[in-house]
This record gives sequence, C-alpha cells and structure tokens, in this order.
Amino acid sequence: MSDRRDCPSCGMQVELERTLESGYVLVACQICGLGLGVRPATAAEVRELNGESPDTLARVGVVKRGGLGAIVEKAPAADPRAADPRAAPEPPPERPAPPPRQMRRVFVVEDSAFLRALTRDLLLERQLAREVQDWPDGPAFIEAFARAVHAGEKPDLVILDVRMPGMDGREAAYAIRAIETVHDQKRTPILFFSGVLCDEPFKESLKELTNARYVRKSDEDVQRLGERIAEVLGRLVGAA
Amino acid sequence: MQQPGDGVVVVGPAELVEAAAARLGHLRVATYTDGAAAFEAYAQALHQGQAPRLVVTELEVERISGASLVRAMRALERASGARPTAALFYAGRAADAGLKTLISELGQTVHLDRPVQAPVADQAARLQIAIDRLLAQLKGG
Repeated sequence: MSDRRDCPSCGMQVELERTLESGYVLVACQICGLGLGVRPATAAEVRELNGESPDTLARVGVVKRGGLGAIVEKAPAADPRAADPRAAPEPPPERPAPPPRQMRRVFVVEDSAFLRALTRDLLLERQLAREVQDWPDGPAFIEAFARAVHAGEKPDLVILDVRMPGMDGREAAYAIRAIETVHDQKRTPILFFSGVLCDEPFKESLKELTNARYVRKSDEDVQRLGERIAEVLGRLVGAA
Repeated sequence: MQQPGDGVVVVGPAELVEAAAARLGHLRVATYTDGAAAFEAYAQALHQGQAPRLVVTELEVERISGASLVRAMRALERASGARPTAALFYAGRAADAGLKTLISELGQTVHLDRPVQAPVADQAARLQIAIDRLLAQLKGG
C-alpha cells in the first residue's frame, strides 16, 4: 500500500516511508523526514516486512526506537493480538520522538542575522549541538568548510539556507560534496532550511546530495519549529 | 574525468565547449557542461598543486552557476593559501552593473560577451582569440 500526500513541512507530494510498530505503520516524509502519523498496517505490509511468513501476523517488528519515524527491526515477536488479522491491535502509546544524539559541531549558513541567531539558540538550548559556527553566505562557509576538512574538524551537520544572495544553498552543498570527494571524506549530513516549498528539481538535487533533508521555514512558533527540526535531525544524524 | 592540470578549463553548453576544445588543440583543455563537476575537478587539481591557468565559464550552467563556480574557487584558494586562478565569464548575459561589481570583487576575472545568436563555430573562434590573448597577458605578468 502506498501513501502519497503533501508533506506539511517541505510541501512536496511524496511517497511516504513506512515502518511498522506492533501492527501499525508509522509514516514519514521521504524529503524532510517529518513524521506524519500512524495507521493500522495492512496484512500485505506485515507480509512485506516479515518476508517469509505470509500467513500470519505473528511476526511484526521489534521497536528499537519509538515515536514517529521509529526504527523497527525484523524479529520474531510473538504478539497474540497480531496473530489474528481481524483483531484490531491497540494503537501504540503516544510518545515524543526521541531526541537526536548531541552533535559536536554544526555549521549554519543563513543570510538573515535573526534566523542565524535563532538557529544557534535552538541547537544549543536543546543541546542538539555542543558548538555552532555560522556564516552569512556560501563562499565564506565553503572557505571555512575547506579549512575544517584540512584540520580534520569537519562538522557533524551543515544547515543551509536555500535562498541567499549570490551563491545559493544548493550550490554551496554541491561545492562541499566536491571537497569531500577530493579529500576522501565521508559525506556530512545536510539540512536545507528554506522559506520556499521543495520543487521537483530540488528533489532530484536532494538525491544527488544525499544525505540531505529539506525543512520549510513557516510562520509557526519557534517552539513547534524546534520540535520539527529536532525530529528531522533524529532521522538525519541518528538518535541519542 | 579529465584533469585540468596546468591548462585551461572551459565550462558551458556541450556544443560550445566541444567546438572550443577543437580550436584549442595547442593547449591542455578540460571541458565540463556542469559547474559542480568543474568545481570538483578544480578542487582536485588545486589539491595536487596543479591549478589550471585559466577557467572559462558561461554563467548559465547546471548545478553550480558560472558566477558561483568562481566564488567557490576563490573560497577554496583562500582556504589553501593558493594564488587566484584567472577566470573568464564567456556569457550570453551582458555585464550589467551587478555583474561588474561581482567581477571586481572576485579579482583576476574578466567578462566577454558570447554572441549567442551567432553560429557555434564563430562563438568558439571568438573564445579562442580571447583565451590566447589572456594567456599571453598572464605569461607577460
């Protein structure tokens, strides 16, 4: 069963990622990773996950990490409720998304001084990062990134504004991927932070620039935005 | 991938860069239609201490625009303490005030109008003359 819908975070119509939790499917946007809800799994989905046991719903995933965007591993989990496909399993308990692991160093590129300060405060106050360095434009960031690579101090995450005067965030992202390739470095996760919806060409770029996610800035309150970013980061850089 | 080495990098539409490379047989030329691929090759060359002498680029190229390509090159040169590589915008877009400001900020950069309506062979010929002249100037110091 495929889920398609418009993600409220990045605005893309996306095929949603699915994971199973005790007979339920947790769906999340492929582009930004935002968790979008829970629905009961179909028999076909449980078979798909469990592979070789098509006739029973007894083997569903073991939840390694709960909440929306849960990580579920295949394992024999004897769940009597799930053994009968007609019995509706209880919904999973409401749990907040797990906090992402704390990152050592995050680079932020954002032309608005207000949003630079906001992003920095958010990362530090929520203890998502120990150190935040920021730049107002792409070239200054590329220079710093190249220096960091030379010094063996690459950041754990780069947060890039998409629309900036001069060089845009996507161009800066391609530039750092090139630097990483030349220096044989692992790809740094990138979080694009944008005021505009993600369009089809950008979606293609996200694939080329993987590991990269896209979050739309909206006029929601800072608290909600912080929660959304924390959730996406959990998927991008891993949970605590 | 072709390595620019101590030569000339030309970035632009496929037809143009092929025609230009054919006319520049006397030089070591690497061509790209994509700004990101050109930047990666440039970063590789710089890393090996073999930066090209000249980078020629159209402004309208895929992934990384011509203007951003030169901006990114300058950033990398600052980071590694390298001398700036000369750049030439061979562009369908005329040099307006904004572009002139950018060119002076980038340094070691010039602009040449690309007559987009002219046959590609003519565009390549005009580029070849400009490149030979620029390289002669660079050699003269």
